[in-house]
Amino acid sequence: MTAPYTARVTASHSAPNGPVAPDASVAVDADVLLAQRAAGGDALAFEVLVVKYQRRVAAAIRSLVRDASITEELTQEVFLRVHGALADFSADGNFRAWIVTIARNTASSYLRSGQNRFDDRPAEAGDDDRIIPLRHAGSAEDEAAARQLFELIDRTIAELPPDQRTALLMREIDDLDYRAISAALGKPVNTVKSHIFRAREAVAARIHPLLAPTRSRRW
Amino acid sequence: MTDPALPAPPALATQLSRFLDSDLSADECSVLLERMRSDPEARDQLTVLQLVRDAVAGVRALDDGFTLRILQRIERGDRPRGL
Repeated sequence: MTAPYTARVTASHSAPNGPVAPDASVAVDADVLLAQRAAGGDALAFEVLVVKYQRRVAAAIRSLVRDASITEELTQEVFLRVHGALADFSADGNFRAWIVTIARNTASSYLRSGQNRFDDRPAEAGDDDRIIPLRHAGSAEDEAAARQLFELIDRTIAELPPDQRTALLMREIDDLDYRAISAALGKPVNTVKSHIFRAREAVAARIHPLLAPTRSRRW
Repeated sequence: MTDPALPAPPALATQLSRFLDSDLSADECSVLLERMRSDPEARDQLTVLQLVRDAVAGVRALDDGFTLRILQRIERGDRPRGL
């Protein structure tokens, strides 16, 4: 079942004496659309939300909880909670803020519960807080693979044409939308979209050989 | 207006990138989701693009089966433990 798409509709057809109908041709907040579909029982919509937010959730938990296994366990707990609470998510809300708040609350509850037997440990030598370790990513081989992957991503970004790199960083780090980037750079919106897409594709193409062997582990 | 010097990118990859930026209409999202339902390559492209997005933003973790483990728990009907 698909719920009506009401969120972040930037234009709409208005009927003189009736309700405002969403315009199917204008951009919608994809997270709200996914959450509404998932609440209606669309498993794929929820899967996409997991793909989009698993790392953000893990990072929010990792900022409070040191142990990798507990980080993964609590991340799973968050998505179970979210799955059961989708009907409570407001269509005019910010899904990312909502789920990160649930993640922080879940980690805080865990720490208060007295189950945090691992969290008094000092940081281990060589801990790299830039890469979030999860349950099965702890082997030296996996850690080396992760390091190689993220170093390649950094190198590729550094080698991008300046316009592409700037647009990508404004989008991902500053969280600006296309119009804001367009205004800041003085470029047409479609050029900005193109720069961002090409930058992402350039990085994706470079890392593809490193990711190919682990395809069966991914969604 | 798009820069005419740039060659046209592949349609699916462009749509996925715009989808991640909430730049598609509801109808376009529906078409893309139906494609993902039946096309593992489309799902993988989305996964890799999201990995790139997170990595650029400094949120870095490999997907070593993490997503699939979460989804297995949802599919099993596991309930939150109420921590």
